[in-house]
Amino acid sequence: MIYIILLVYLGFTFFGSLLGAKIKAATPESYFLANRNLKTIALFFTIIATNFSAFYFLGFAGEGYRIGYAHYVIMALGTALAGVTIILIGTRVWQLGKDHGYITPSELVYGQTGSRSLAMLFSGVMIVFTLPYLALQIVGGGYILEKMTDGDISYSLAVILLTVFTIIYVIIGGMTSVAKTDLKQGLIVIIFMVLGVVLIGHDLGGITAANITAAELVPELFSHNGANDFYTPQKWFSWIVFWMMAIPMFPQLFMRFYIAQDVKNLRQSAILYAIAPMFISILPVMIGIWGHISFPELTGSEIDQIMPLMLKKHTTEFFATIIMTGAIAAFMSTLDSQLLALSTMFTRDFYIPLRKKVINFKKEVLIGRVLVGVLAIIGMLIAFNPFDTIFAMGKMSFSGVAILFPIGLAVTRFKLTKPIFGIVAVVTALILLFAFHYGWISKQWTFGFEPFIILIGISFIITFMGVKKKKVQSTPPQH
Amino acid sequence: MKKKRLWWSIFFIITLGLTQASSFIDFGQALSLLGFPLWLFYFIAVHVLFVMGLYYFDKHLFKEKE
Repeated sequence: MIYIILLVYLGFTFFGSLLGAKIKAATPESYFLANRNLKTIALFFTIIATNFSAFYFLGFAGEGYRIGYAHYVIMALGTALAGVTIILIGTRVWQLGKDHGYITPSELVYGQTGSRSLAMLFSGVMIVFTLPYLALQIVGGGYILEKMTDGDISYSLAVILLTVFTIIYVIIGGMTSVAKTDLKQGLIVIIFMVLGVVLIGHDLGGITAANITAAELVPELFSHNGANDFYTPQKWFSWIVFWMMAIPMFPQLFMRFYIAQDVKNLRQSAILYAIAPMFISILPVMIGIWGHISFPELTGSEIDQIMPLMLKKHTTEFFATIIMTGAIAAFMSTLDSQLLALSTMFTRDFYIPLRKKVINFKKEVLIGRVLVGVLAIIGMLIAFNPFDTIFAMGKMSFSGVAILFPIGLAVTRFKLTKPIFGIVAVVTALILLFAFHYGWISKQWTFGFEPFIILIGISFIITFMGVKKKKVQSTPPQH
Repeated sequence: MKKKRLWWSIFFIITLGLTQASSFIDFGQALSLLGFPLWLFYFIAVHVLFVMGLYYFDKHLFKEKE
């Protein structure tokens, strides 16, 4: 049964990819940006699908188990606030991309500032810090596949199988295929997550009974600060403000701003993006909290597996399998977007400018395809030995890209006349990020705030020292 | 135009302030509808308010440009 459902899913995705490939991509815009032709619903699903990741499915459930309902509020409100930044930055990115033919985030930075160094730094930081997040999808897929098959498919084999499958369908289809897959997989995830909550809740005597039982067992999960007062006022503030800056800076999301058919489609998607977390963020958190009823003793990275554990215990094999297959679909929809975005950036931001040679589209796609394979293998290698919990890996990744937000704002809404300030801002924030991560600087110096909020603040101050408050006279990128 | 920008800035700052209410108010742990904590509904209401504000902000921003 498990294998039949998995095969049906793989066939479904692969067939979709082939259909995407049938639409011949003749230009970089068609292959990398689906011809900048996505309307509201497809655009919304392709944006939201990048959120349906292992971070959401396993990470949120794990944090529900560790912290409680406070985690839902932080994630839902924080993600919703990103609607403002999508409207403010995303719509300008769309316009500039359309006017100048930008495909990667770095091309926009170069075009608007004329600084190749800043553009490459911007791209490099995006790529490096997206890698842990990319690996996290493979880690999540590996956990689930291993649990689904009761260990028949080992974690390592699962990681290899998922990586190879994703490489094949991204290489065949390009962005058109990725966007189509995102739409289907986004719908699948929402339906299956609702189904998961309903079935587990039913088995625990109903949603009300499950919540009351969990509240009796671990009352602090129902407090607004979370278990062990996890979300202090400083942390609460840090996380809510953080998401609105981190989310638009992920390359796979930034490049989504280019692919809207019209700015109206992007604006409508931003509103939908602000609404969606209210409903979808609570689902895995609920399952995580209810996990204390059935699995009260989990610790460390075991907690990341509370979702598959609950599905297996409280639903039938059939439902557990299709819901977990839906989760794998979610991870792959994030993974494919990341692979395509990063390979495009490597090709266009580093390979072409450094070779200083114009290459034809066929070769560009070929290089992009090779890089999809290389990046997926790097992700797979990280996934073999994950360096932290799913949530902590995601946090590291988000912190890195969030320090780029001030530059993103400066180049789209202001005029960054002195790009050197952007470079200094990023380098300073990066040094501090590693200093906090490795304990060279004590976290006491942040006065209870999360270090990333201090880094973003510093990045803001330095970047805006180089800003002139005037509309940009942009220069298209020269390749 | 500047006045409207100021109003929108105030709106978003107030909304951000409302999201921080847990720093000033002790909501307690009373359960409510479907066994969810009562305070959760306060934040859902703030979320709804924010989305409505965002909708009108978007309309205002792009009407201004047209």
